[in-house]
Amino acid sequence: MNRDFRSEVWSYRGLYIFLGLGIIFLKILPIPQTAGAWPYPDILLCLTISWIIRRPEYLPTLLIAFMFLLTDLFLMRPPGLMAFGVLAGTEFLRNRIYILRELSLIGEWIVVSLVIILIFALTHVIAFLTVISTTNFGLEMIGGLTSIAAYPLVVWVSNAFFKVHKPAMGEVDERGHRR
Amino acid sequence: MAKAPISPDQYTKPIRRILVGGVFVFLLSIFALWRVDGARVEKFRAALIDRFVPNLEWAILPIRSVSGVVKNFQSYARIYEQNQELRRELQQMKAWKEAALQLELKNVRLLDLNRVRLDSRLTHISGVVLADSGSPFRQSILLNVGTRDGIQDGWAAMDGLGLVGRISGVGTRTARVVLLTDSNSQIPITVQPSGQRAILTGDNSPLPILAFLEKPELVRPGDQVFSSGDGGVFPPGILVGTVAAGPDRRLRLRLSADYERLEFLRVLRSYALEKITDAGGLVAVPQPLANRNGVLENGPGVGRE
Repeated sequence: MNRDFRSEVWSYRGLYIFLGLGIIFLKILPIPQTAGAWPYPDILLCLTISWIIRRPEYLPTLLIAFMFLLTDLFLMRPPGLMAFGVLAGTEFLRNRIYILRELSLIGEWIVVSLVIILIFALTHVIAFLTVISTTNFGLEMIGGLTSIAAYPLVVWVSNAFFKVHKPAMGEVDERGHRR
Repeated sequence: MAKAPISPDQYTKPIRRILVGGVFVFLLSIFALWRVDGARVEKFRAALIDRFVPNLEWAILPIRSVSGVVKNFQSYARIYEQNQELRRELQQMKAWKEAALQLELKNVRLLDLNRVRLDSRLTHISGVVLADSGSPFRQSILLNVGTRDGIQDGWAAMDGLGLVGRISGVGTRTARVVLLTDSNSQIPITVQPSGQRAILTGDNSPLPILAFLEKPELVRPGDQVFSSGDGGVFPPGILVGTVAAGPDRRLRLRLSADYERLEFLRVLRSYALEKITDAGGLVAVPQPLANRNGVLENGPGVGRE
């Protein structure tokens, strides 16, 4: 039982890294995305948030920080900025995990929308304060909105294919604590 | 009375909080380091990308060719319209071809008369596009040529038609090209035929802006724009595009390069221009110096004999 639990957690962490690298790879493929086009949804962000709400133990803080720092580096964004914003959002959610579990998908979606918008706003404010040539704020927000729109789909996929769902009643971890 | 059971969380929580705070500080300090000393962090980023992306070439190339097939398939759908369009264009092209042939003959004759020496050092290296920046906000692409092919920062990259961007960041096997549409891209240009100079500034829209034009009234939509080579970094005389008036009544540029399908780019080797520093010495008829000192002291003019 003990071993099962631990290997399950580690295999999900491996899956997260694999999916993250896959998403980065797909993003840097030279399929031209012309300037001024609508940005694609940030699938990795949706995945991270949906897993944090369902199984926070799969995604330790360091793993999220590492993954998003890597994304920042590969996607030519200011390194550390988006990682900081995402980490702030996920830690906020992680500390309220017992409330979030009680919510239905609609309620969860509303909370997640607010968090995603706050993440984008926070990074934009930091970029503005440090006088980085900030890009079009409206377009960036559209990027946030497409991510919000993609969120239920990501939840469904991770539920159906990766079996990441909220812990059932009475599920305990290796030390017998409530999950 | 029985005490509340002590959960292990009570001990681990403060420690966890400190560690998480540490991660936050770490990320912010990376960001601050990038903001203060951008060159070093960008060098690290170039090295990281240089290490990993070329190894993915086996995966990138087939996926890109599949996307090409999909795109071609979409264009089959309206093949009839395209055929008509192409026929019309072909008619026009035939007329242009005649004109071009005549002009070429004329040009050859004139060059011969002038004995113009074209710059033989403007040769190029071709590279394949490996990856892009993956977001519509940062317009840059990665080429599979780097310092081992002699690429240097600041060189111009073009496709067959026109200027595409400028090399910014070179690894051993890869080099990043900042496209003209990126908001960090600024290139000195001249507008022909009026000869006005301006700076081409990207703003993350498909049509970059012509900034700092001295006399905008001399520039018309449809004028051709070439790189000017001001500042000595960029080679002059490369076609960039044609002027277009934007909906906001600002002068913008329609790029000649086909940004929709950048597959192969050529990087132009350009070297620092030799500078002419002094105004030239005194030109005088060579004479024995001894008996002419007095005349030379009179003024800086050419010896008047």
